[in-house]
Amino acid sequence: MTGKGHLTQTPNRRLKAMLGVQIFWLIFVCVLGAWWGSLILKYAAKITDLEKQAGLAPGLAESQWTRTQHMLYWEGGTFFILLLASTVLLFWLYWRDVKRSRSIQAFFAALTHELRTPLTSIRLQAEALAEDQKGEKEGKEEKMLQRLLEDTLRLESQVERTLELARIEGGGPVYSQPLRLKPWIERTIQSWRETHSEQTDIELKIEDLTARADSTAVQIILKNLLENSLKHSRCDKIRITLSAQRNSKGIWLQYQDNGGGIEQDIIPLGKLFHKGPRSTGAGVGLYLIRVLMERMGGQAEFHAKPGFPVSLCFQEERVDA
Amino acid sequence: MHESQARILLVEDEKNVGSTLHERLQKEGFCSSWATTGEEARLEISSCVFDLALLDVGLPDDSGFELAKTLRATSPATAIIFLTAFGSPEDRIKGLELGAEDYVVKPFHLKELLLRIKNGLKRARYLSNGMNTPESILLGRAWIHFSRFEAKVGEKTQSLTHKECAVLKLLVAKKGKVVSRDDILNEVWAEDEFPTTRTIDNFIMRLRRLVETDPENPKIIRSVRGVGYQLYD
Repeated sequence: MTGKGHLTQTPNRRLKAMLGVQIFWLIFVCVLGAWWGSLILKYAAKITDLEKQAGLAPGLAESQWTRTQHMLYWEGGTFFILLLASTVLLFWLYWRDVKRSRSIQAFFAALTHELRTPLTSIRLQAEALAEDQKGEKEGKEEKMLQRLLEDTLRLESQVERTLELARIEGGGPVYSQPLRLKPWIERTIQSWRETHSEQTDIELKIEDLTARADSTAVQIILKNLLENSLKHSRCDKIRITLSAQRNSKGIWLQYQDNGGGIEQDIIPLGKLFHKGPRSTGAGVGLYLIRVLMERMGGQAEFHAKPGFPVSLCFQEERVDA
Repeated sequence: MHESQARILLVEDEKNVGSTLHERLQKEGFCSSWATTGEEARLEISSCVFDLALLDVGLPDDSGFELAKTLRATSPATAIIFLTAFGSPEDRIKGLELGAEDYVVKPFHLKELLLRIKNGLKRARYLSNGMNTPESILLGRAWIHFSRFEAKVGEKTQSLTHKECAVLKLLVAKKGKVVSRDDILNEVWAEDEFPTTRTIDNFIMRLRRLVETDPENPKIIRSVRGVGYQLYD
């Protein structure tokens, strides 16, 4: 038991929305068709009455009226059957597409999941080796070990992003609970500093605030932001500032680096697989940040300005004294 | 029990991960036993009492969750940490509901794992000889058996997690006195677990459901507004 939390589950909204739209469309066309059919029948009956009044033989008028009715029923019936069949076909095609995309997602999730164990082994052995050699050997071997750890972490982040994307897209939940932001941010930064202290200098201006958030999601978000800075800031020494403020909307976490920022033309940011012309990423990181923040009941804002400022708004958890 | 002499059961089927961890734990001064299958782990559990168990969830012949159930039944004082590649919130919740101390997702940082092991052992040590409390005590409608980590309400027996037991033990040791939320946090939680005071309130809520006849109007574990909790008998 880790405290009272709740699972924010997102079922396959798109599938449900598609089914809803199809049903609405079917009902709408049926109502329209029935109204149109009844109108035609009404006018056909009027025409028959007028023909009788004009002196046409009643038997002939009646037989014409019956023929008109049959024609309308056949046409209307065929139209409704075709409409129903096309709706079912469309929905089946959509469902097949969704199933295929789910299978692809599941395949990638299984693949990345399988990568986790060998990655654990590589990381463990590299860390154990680094620990054993601490202070004993310096120079080339230490540098090589450091590079090995850095690359393992990069691969690990890529695996983590792919898995999280597959989980979130598959309707996976986010576990929000009262969370002290400062220590969790410090823990992530501490772990980051162990391998990237030479390239990055991080300044934290955060007081101890409690938000409603998922600890794993917060760590994924921060790691993505830090990796973004490392990849795109194009500076020898990256300076990152993280600060937090409260307002009526919640807790705002402001993230900024000293890089050049991003070009205006890659707006809108945070869309899946959307990336800039010079970006080497897969276009997943910012999307994950946005979706995870939204699932926690907050929001993420990306600004196309120097330093690529990012504002993250968390729901504040009021804690009694 | 000294931390570095603690007995640790490591259950990991991946040879490279298992051997590196086993060596590392021994280097840190722990007495580590390594099992690669569920069967081997069950043999170890039946022949020895461990202070802490590191359990891989996906084993070739068994599940770490099933092993945890066996451990909770045969040796409830053993702290459990799951090591797993399954990191979804549902899996984490399942692990913690089985009474695990922690849930570590692969790939993990070696230092962080060692820290979590130390936290688990600290709590186990606190529970084994932390305070002068009786083995069993009647609180409200429940008999609490600290050594067996269980509570008995009527004919129904319910297992308690190490944290729940530690909170109860602290309240029993300071019966009649006000125990602040900060005291509970300092005594029961480790520094790097970052609990909020709301976490304590939720634990107390669960304990009240166990001991109180009417948890909405508590008579045994009372709240002292703005400070903490007080245990009455």
